[in-house]
Amino acid sequence: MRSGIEDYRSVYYRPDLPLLTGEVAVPDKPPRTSVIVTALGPDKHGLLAAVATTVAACDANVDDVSQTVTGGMFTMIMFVSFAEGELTLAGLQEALARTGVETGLQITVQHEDIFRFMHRV
Amino acid sequence: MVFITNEEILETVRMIQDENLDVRAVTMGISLGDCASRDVDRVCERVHDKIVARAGRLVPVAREIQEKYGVPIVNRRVSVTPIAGVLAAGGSDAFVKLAHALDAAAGEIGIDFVGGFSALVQKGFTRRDVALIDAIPQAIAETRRVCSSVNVASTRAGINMDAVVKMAEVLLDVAGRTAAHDSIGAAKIVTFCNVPEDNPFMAGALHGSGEPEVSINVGISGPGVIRNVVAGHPDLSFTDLADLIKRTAFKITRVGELVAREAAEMLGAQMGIIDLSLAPSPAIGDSVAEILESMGLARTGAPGTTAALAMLNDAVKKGGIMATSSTGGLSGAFIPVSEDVGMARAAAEGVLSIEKLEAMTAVCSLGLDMIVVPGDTSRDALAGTIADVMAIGMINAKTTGARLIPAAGKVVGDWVELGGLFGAAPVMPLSAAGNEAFMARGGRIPAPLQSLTN
Repeated sequence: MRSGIEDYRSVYYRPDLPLLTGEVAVPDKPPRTSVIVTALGPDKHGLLAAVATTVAACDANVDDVSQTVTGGMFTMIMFVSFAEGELTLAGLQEALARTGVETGLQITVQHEDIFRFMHRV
Repeated sequence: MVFITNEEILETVRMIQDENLDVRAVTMGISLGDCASRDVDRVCERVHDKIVARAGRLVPVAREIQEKYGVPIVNRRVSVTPIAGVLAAGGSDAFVKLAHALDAAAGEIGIDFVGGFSALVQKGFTRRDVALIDAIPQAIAETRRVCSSVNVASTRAGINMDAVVKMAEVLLDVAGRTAAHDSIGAAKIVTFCNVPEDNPFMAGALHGSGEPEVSINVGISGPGVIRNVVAGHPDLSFTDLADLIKRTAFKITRVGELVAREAAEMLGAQMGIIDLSLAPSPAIGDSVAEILESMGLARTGAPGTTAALAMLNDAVKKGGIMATSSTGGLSGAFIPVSEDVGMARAAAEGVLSIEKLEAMTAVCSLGLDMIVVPGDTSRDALAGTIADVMAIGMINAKTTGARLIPAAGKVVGDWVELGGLFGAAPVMPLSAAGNEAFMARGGRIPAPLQSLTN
């Protein structure tokens, strides 16, 4: 069960007290896997669309995306999540690897924990 | 969600894709204490079954973690209780048989090496220790995946000089037996002072007596990442450069911590240690020597090399210690010659000598590592060289090791191809001065004053 004030409760939660006014219980959802997709390569039309189309076709969700083109080089970072059980990380990696070959992009798909862990304690 | 900047994401990707960031070894330590028996066949069966049962999923789990995080895990290995203590009776034939059982189990589960064909004899030999050491040449020559180590010295006990001489004999014997393959067998034998009980790196890994039933120990890597950081800042003072290396070592170590936690949980093992060693590989751009050269040395071996290595080693530890609370193993930059293209190149050009490497041993790990010497090197010259490395470890209360390869039929200047991660190296000269009378004394160099710390 997740709630909108989960962080607050983790510090101050008192099971003996009633729930705070205004708290809305959210129904349990299947756990989701969050990954970060990066794509690098020579720029051309439709690169972001190609990656996003593959992600959508895999039933994954784009949570956030940013892209730049510098000196003709396309750089994209996409936060993607999907429900566990409906898609595997390996499945998404395989689909995006094909997109990488078709578009000439170097695409990586990594679990977000590697980024979180590397830069933060 | 923890906020991650685009720069951090791209930095992580670059470190892995372009700078060879990987996890060098995920090593499962397995206690074989409950496999002990006086019947060698029974021990062989128990050892084989236990390794297969506990480490059977090590390779697929490592592959799964590798794919999840996109970080290559180069080696999957197993370390076991020092074998001298597992077989309660029997001669060297029995130990050779046990080595084959270890080899078969390692092959079955798909790992590249199993370490722990070992004995600890710093203070003296038991009958089983003698039988095991006598078995090493045949065991190493006849198996593919078994690695051996013998601890002959410690700060607490001093140096067992009889064991030092014995190890020199073992090296010459195994070099002769594996002469057809450039004496590769000697590369799988380490002679230690102050051997760590939780080292994930081969050939010296063993699962010590203070370790839990099953543990996961991880060796980080990342010389390429550090080299690029150093090379990208040619004008920084040493103070600022050390700070930069610390920050980078922190990131590298965090990857090891993540992999260790996940592997331990998935394999039902206790998380052991993260070894904060910069471990080079023969790949271009994965060299500790190139880090030193990026600091401004024309070649490793130039005046200033020991100072550069000391600074590097210390900064890596300081960055790493913030990234994990589970430090252990060797935790120091490695300076192997054959496994590091920069070291091998400097040695071939004659600017890096064995004597300089010995001095560098005082400020890092592991010691005289993967050094090829002429095949006609005398037993006493080998033994004296090992004793020198042991003395540095004993006096400085640190781990030192010797992995010397007296390549049969090779002379100074020849090039020896050991293959794979073992790399290639030139044959280096040892001092020609005699030491026979010194080595003939035997006995034990007493524990130093540093042993009396209580």
